[in-house]
Amino acid sequence: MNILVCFKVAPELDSLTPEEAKAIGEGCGDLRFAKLSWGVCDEAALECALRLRDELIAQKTPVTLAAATVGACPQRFFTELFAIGYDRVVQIPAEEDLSFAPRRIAFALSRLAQSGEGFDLVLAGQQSSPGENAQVPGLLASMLGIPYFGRTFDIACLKDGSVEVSSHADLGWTRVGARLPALCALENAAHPFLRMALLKNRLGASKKTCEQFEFSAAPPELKFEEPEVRLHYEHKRGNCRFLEAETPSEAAATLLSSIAREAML
Amino acid sequence: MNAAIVLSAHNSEAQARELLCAARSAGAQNIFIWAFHGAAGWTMHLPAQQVLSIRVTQPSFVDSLADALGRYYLKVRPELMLFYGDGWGNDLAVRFSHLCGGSLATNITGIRRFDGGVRVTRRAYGLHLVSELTFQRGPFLFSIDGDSFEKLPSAGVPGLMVETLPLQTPWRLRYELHPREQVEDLSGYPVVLIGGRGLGSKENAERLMRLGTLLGAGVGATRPAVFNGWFGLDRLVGASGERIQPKLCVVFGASGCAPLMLGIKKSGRIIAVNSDPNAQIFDACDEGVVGDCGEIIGEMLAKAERGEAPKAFLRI
Repeated sequence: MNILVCFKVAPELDSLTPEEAKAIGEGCGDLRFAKLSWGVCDEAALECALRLRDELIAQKTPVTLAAATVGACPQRFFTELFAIGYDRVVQIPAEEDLSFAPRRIAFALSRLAQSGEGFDLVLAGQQSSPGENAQVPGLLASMLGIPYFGRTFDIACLKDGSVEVSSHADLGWTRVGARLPALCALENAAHPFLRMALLKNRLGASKKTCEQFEFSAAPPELKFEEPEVRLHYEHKRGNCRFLEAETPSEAAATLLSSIAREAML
Repeated sequence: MNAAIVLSAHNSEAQARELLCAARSAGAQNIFIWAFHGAAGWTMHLPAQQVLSIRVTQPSFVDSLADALGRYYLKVRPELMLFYGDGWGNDLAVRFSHLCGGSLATNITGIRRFDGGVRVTRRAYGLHLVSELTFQRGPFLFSIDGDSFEKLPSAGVPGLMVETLPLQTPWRLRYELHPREQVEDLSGYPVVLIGGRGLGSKENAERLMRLGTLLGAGVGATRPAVFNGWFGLDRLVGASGERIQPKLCVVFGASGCAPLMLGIKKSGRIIAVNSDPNAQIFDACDEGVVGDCGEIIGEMLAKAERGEAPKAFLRI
């Protein structure tokens, strides 16, 4: 079984200060020096593929794992993927920032997925920053013409070559048995964190390089309109009043009286 | 301008009225409601031109629904199509935009029409920024972010049409729907306690849960606390979890990142407890306490167990 995981490495935005966010909104911020990490949902997709590989090997089913990203990504992330067991790592170059161009990303990935032997199962994160578009997996499945499972949290490979996909639904969760090929977008997954590579595997992978995938531009019928994008910072409420408390006991008493006051109102 | 609002069985009347408000904000005059899985009775009081009640014959997947949606699209050719920004609505909007070649944005928080196009706003950059997207080529397909639009109050008497839709999903082998069990619904509590990564341990998370039970307060958690295994996923509050609006929200040990704030920003009052006086959350709360969360929760719990705390509140 050939499995492709689409991932993105993104700046960690949780620690962005209001001043930094404001500067980005005004077009003078710079995220080049921000700490980079796997996209939150993409990390779960990468780990899910490794777990599927372990299952398939136990079933004596041949499996290859590939990971692909569009745009810039530091070499250390590729090395990590090789070190934890990915057979292929592919980078699709992009000259510009595609944060708000999900269709172009999906199109590039669709070209890769259709190249060579193709893929039986494609995994991706449901969405990633900074665009937060939540469009790439669905568009990619549409472009590939394969079934799509959004908000997937677990996948099992069955011996008959099909998969069982568990997904969050608006009123609960679903488990669906499906023939392949299919695309699953992971969110709030059962195993959200990517495993760490062993040092010896990292050293072994340090000389491996990722493949570069080039493709011809979109044919005219696939030229999509991309919106004009403007960013701005929205002022949030401030004016926090610090409650006086010398000890944890005093703080606890203050908080409990606040809660009591609120309950009585 | 014609607009179509696409609903699923789990969408509520309030959500439908938000969608109607968004459609009117975009200047839609004729609004058609396409209710998959059948139209609920309340749809007949919505200010719309027509309600189409579509009964599907088997579990519906967005792939097959998107194909089916094309049939109704071709009849009316709406310039604007709106979906509610939950999992179903977002997925369907994405899939159908590819089929119809329309312009697409998910989870929009604002919309207005101008000569030659539509301008929408949505959150980006870890929800720190607002992005304004200008589209010129229709049809325009948008899903709306919950609680971002008013609920259009006016009543109407739309026409009703009923159709049955046979769906084809040849790739499907089995299907099981597991309804949500014992979901912790935080929406009914006047006071909600939120635990973040700064709780430091599962023991402190358990103490917070006990405290919540003694006080009659709801207990929610941030994403890092849930993924550390300290709380169940049904307690997740924030962009990818529940959005709450209690009278008082007390947040323990959370940095105050944008996804959490999106989930609690409609609270009447927010009190944050954090050991770092420079934590971001103090920029976004009403009152703050600087201190060790574990110790403060321990003290609160001890007082509550001794009966020195207010007794259980009634749920709203």
